[in-house]
Amino acid sequence: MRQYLLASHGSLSEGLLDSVEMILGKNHKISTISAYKKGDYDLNEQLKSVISNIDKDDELIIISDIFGGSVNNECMKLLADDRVHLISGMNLSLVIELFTLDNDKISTSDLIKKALKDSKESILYCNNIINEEIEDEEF
Amino acid sequence: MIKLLRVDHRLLHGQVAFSWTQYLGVDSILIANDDVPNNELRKTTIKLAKPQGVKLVIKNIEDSIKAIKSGVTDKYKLFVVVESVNDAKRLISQCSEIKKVNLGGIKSKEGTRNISKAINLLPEEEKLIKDMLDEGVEVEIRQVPGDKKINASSIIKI
Repeated sequence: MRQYLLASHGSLSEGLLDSVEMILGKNHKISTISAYKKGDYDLNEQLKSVISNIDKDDELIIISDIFGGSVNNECMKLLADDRVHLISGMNLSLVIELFTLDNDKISTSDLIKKALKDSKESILYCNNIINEEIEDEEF
Repeated sequence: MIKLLRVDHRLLHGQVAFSWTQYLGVDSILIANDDVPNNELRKTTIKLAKPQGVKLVIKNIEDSIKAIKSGVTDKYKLFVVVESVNDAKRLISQCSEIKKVNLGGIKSKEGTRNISKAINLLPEEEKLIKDMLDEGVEVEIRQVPGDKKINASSIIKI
């Protein structure tokens, strides 16, 4: 089974999960890490505890907030474990694409590639597309 | 085949595009509404929100009824979305194929009663729903497929 972890500086992860659940309903496969909210916070420890709860045959897809940030940098260290997949650049359409495309038949790497491609296409300057002519469809 | 008719004042948006379309396994969405076909901004916005791999047809209520009755929609697994209880009733009274109605979002306005999260009904709308139930149509309240299904029959007071 695939588990998901949203990891961010501060509360972005929790907020994003709240939005995902509003659109897709509750999902028990997602957990969140909202890092550095307390002075004595140890991200490494929290990541270790998440990993220790992943079964031997399970996979963990981590979605971090920003490439180059310390949260993503810490998560990179987990990639020696081949159950772990890491995506940077968390956003709502990416997470929704992942969940709607996820099924038993698609491999994890194909799932991630497809979700990345589709969600990148939905980052748009809407002023430029509102005047687009889209043909009407018929039955 | 009509899998479901949803009443949602937002018409096609995230919950509909991502959750319901996938959950129902439909290959076609019909937006039945008298304003959208003539409102370019609304129409374009809806077209842009279309989920991939699904046909999206936009028609006014009368043309929607004609299309359904003509049989051209029979080969599709169709999901119909309307914005009001009144529009739902207009379709249902002409198209006996519609057996299931989902109430997904109806805005509050003056005189409405909040009957469930996101569902606000005028007394006359409650009456229309009562009529649908009496005609044997299953009416349920649910925002997203994973929510608990509430049968309208347990809530409608009329």
